Amino acid sequence: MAEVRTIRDPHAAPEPDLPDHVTQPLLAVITQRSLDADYEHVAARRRAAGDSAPTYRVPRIAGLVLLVFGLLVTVAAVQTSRNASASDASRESLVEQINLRRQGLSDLQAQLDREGSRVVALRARTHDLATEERAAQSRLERLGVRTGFGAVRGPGVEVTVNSAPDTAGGQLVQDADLTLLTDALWAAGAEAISVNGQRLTVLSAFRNVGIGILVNAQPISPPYVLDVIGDPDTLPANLLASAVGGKWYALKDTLGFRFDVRNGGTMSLPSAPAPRLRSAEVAPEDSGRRTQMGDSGT
Amino acid sequence: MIAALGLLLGVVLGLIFTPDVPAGLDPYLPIAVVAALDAVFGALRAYLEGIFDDKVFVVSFFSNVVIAAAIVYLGDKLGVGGQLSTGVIVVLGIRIFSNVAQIRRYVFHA
Repeated sequence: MAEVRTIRDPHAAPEPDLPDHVTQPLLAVITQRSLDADYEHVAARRRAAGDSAPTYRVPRIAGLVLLVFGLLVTVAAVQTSRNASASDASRESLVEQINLRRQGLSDLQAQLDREGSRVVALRARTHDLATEERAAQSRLERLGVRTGFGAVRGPGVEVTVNSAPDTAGGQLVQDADLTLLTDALWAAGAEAISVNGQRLTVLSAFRNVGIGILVNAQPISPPYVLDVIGDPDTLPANLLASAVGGKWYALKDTLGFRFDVRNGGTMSLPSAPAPRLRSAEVAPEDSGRRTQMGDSGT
Repeated sequence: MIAALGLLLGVVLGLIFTPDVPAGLDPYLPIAVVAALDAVFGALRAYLEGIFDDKVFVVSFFSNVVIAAAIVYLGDKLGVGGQLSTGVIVVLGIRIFSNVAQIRRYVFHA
């Protein structure tokens, strides 16, 4: 220990009245004072009392303390080993849990993959269905234009029909006359017709009611203005040339109807109110839509 | 002789009864054992130097154990239990080593 002291303290001897723990490094002091000072103290007192013989007897109390010591060491060792097994067990159970969870995780991952591919498939299906729906929608629109259940606009002619001005009451324009005229117009290439704002549909018919005519269950009265969408250049000529048209011209000349055809420019025709289906239902098959349209088409 | 007997008896008793240490005292047992070890080696050295005193041994043994455990307990309460127990172990370890070195000198007259 003296070496340590000289190495640590290369100057002259330290102040004699300073205690060791001030002049020396901590570890050196600990090392030097490893023996309890009390032993020295008691020995010195005993020497002072005249009993200078070294004592080598071990009293019973020391044996008792050693017993306690042995007990302490054993208990600590036993406890540690017991704890070790306990912590081993808990570690094992943790590992087991980790594996279980990992398994669950991979299961969930697989499920996620499955669901993901399902989502992709469903998305593709949605896309297909949307395309189909668009196709059906445009088909519906086309059919609406054709059948009269969709508003249309386009170039056309305005046809005005009225009874003869000097008629004696017998020669009013009647339902059959208008039917003939519209047949002639259809034959001449008309694509959509409305009579006094009532769009003609595939289900429309003219019926006499008093001096007026009922179309689409709405009464209309003369003069009858027919908005006809079709080629304004060819339609009047076709009307004249067709057989039904010829019949119509003959009829109107016979009955003295006032009849006027003129270019109507670009016209907008309203749609007829869609008929409510009471008995017919959509068939469950894929062809359901078609069947429903077929219904309104017949 | 009586010392070896006591030690042996203690170990045997511990093995037979394996008393359960309360969970609260569990962390302080190893420190207490190291402190007791220090006291025992100090006593052995004192015995070999011829200055053994039973009273000093008993007092140093129990005070070592109690103080070491108390320091660690205090450290635990302050949140520095790990550091304090390291400090206690270092000091006690150095003392044990130097005491054992001294004992070796006496035993082998080196």
